[in-house]
Amino acid sequence: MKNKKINDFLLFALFVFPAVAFVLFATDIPFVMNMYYSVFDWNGVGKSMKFVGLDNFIKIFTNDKLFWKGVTFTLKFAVFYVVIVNIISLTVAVVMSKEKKSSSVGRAFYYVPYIISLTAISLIWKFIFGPGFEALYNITGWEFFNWSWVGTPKLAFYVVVIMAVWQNVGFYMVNYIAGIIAVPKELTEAAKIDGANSFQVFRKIMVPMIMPAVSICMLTSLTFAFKLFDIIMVFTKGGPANSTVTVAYNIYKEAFVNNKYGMATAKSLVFVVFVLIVTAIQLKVTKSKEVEA
Amino acid sequence: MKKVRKVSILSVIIFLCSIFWLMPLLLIFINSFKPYNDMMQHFLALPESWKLDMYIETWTKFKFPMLIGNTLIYTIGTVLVIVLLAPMAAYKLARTKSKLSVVCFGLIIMPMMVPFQSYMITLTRLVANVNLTGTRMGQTLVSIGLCMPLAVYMIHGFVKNVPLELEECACIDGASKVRIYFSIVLPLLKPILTTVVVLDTLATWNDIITNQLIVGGNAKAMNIQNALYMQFSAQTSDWEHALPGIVMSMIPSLIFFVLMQKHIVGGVTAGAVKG
Amino acid sequence: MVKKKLAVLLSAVMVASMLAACGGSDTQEPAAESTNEDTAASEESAEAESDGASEESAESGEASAASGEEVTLKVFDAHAYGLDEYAEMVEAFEKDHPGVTIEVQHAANDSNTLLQSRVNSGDIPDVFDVESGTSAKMYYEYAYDWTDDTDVTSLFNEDALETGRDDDGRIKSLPWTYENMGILYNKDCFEQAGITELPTTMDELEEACKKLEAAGITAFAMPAKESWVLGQLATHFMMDKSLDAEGTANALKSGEKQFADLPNWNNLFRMLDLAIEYGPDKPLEIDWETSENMLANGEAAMIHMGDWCQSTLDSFNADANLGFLPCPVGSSADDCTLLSSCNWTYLVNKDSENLELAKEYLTYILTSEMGQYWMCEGVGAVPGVKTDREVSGKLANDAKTYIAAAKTNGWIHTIAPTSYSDVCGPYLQAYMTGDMSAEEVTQGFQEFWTAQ
Repeated sequence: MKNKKINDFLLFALFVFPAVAFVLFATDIPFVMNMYYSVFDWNGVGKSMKFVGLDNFIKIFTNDKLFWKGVTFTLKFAVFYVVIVNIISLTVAVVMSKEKKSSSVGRAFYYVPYIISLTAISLIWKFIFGPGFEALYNITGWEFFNWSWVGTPKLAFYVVVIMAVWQNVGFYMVNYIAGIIAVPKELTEAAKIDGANSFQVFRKIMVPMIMPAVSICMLTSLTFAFKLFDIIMVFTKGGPANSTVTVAYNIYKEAFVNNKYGMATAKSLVFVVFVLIVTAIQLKVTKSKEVEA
Repeated sequence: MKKVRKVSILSVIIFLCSIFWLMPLLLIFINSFKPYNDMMQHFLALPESWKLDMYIETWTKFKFPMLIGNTLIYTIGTVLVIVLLAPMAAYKLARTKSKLSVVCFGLIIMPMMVPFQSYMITLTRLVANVNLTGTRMGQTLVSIGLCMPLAVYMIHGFVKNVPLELEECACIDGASKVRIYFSIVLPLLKPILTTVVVLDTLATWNDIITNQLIVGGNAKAMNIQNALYMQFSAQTSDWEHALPGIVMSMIPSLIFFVLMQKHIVGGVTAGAVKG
Repeated sequence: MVKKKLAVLLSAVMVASMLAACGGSDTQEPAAESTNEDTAASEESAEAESDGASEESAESGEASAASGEEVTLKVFDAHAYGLDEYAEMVEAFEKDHPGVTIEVQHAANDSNTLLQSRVNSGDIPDVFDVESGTSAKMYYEYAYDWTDDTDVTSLFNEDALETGRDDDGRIKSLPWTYENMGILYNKDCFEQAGITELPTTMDELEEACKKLEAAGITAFAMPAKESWVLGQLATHFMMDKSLDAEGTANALKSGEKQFADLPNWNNLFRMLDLAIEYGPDKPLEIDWETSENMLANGEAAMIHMGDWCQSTLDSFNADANLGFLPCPVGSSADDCTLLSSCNWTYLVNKDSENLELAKEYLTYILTSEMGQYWMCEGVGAVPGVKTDREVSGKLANDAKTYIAAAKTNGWIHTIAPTSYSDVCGPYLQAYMTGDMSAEEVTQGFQEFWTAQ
């Protein structure tokens, strides 16, 4: 009996520990080491640090408007992003999951933005919102193309949403396709013979079967939204007038521009706790759906 | 008949929209042939000539063969280790119900919630402490660690769908369990593994920030995107070299995607037949 | 078979990296572990070892340098200017010093972030540069003290050296080149609009804008998307000529001078109003690249920028007829100046394993013929070192006349409290979008400056 237990453990260790070790090395250990600085006042460069206890945390909650502005922006962005990107990518995946030449080409198209490096993405969008929109305005005369999308705080939010959705649809599409293809053909065909229309087939057969893919996409899109950084860094730079500052960007600036490294660590700690709570709730919700199905 | 038409209208719309997603590729491509000023002035126009001068210059000036070599090493190294380790861990974690299992799963997926910017300094310090700064080894190890969480998480979700009887019917000693994993379970995971391979390949291929942090000043260990990115600053941009560079660096990843995505489909059908 | 071998190799890697990860928090141990790493990945070992060696503690490093073995000098350069000339310069240095390899990281975009992470991880470059003033001071505790090396320091202009002094007046860093900023204008556009006298007051500036508009030229293409440009622009309106940059900055920090009381401060808002009224339709979408492009192509007559953009302007239109316009800030011609400073400064790591070599290299790039060739022709700017060399940049030459006429002041934004442009720039953007009033912006500036 005892032998079996040891064997089981060894087997578990053989299978799981290598992966854990890599993650520990690249993220978990650095993150925990980093927490140490959250109780210090440190500029991130110098040799000396000043112990300040919980001062950094108190400041976050009492005197940091920009951080909370970032939290609000990030939450609002997460809602828009998760909903829109999942709807679009699922729709695209349903259409593109057919085994045809045309759909394999189409898939590649949708995947293109995910492949392009970020530097180029900022360049392209600058010109789309600039000369691109100007040309469209001249052709169509629609006032909407004449707005200063990037230059108006309210509209800049949608710019960020559009860019993020546009860039990542390919990623979720691939996941959904993998899920959809796993649905046995016999099942859908049988339903069709029984007279179900395609929407019914989708609703009653596809949706339950692709629930694992849905929960993967929900969680990854949620965590992506919470960590949103790259687009802000290369394109909006948090502007205009701080209207597109996200939490990750605020943390980055705090650490490397304001040179308050201790403060930045404290912020990231607060933020991670917050994200853990939200994702735990989200996991519970999708889990219960999965069981239901 | 009506229903069929409805679907095809949706398809038409989706296919038309795909042009909007393809457009950046076209824009980058046509602009990679233009001088800087032309690009700024007439971004949407076709270039005056299709000369390959800048491509050749970029190829030699940036030592592209070396960059491609490095990037290949990182990508292949990362993906190989991920493909070996991630499904093992995901499979075992999904099948084992114990506290240890929950803790390990938590440790693995925690990084998905943590912004990279919040711990990158300590990561750099850790890498330096084990003397891996500026080395290809260090870059590969970190890149594996960063790709692991998503890979394990995705496969974990998929494993839950693999029927249990397959594994239980066989005899129970450890050695054969390993064999069962490799001969029965792993082939069933092919579709999700393909997805993981595609995602991680591109993530590693396009990586800038880890390469900047880990490789430091060692130009011999630089990858493509980092080398191109070095030409930019807050006040200067070298698009004349960057765009041809981006096009050249994208060709392999695009070809790779087109080839692999067939296997997402193929893999599933193969798995279904066996199951 | 292949799979098995791979598995063995990988598990070896794993064990090694697990050990490495566990020992990570302990600084003393890496030497022992690196052996493990090396056996795990034999093809990497040669490299890991040579790199490892150079990062070992100072004692062992010095030993190897002394015995005349291969030496690698780690250099961090925060610019993307004149890269070709820089490479030539490095090549020449390596040729003169057999066995020496110069390893340069050009990290122009996120220089602060990358330098910070290198310093933190103990991988401090032997020679590196940062922006002088507030940023540089953070690094001075790592810096070699040049004060007693008078044979080197005497090569530089006195005012340039000033930018590298710490609070005790010790010379902790050496200056790179002078950079000048103010309004850049396109002479052809001014001519076309019939402007013969350069505007020196706010009223004249408005007059000029009207003429330009009448001639169908966009008067201003202010790069308002860049908060750093707005931050720089604002400093013109803070400057008190009787105090110069440092005095003004100190008076503002101490609260001795209040923003609301500054004589020219309100003209900043007038300037921004002009930039909106006589600017492009979507002013906040204009980034530095677009604004420089419009100026070089004669689509816009004025931008706020400095001579660092010379090479970009040249690549847009090498024949553009451009010049500096000292920034009008009030009603007196005496107040309008260019702001000029050596705003990048080079440090040598005082704990460098190859300190002498590092000092030699830095002296070489900042003072030698090759170094001057890099700065004067590659970058096209006036170097901080005393020289008679011609400078290739047109704007830098134009600025020389103003320097000679004493129509320059120093830079305020580099000696302002940390992150000045990142905090205050967005306030000015908010003013331009109408989300903040002039009073609120002034209040914001005031709070930021006196908070530290």
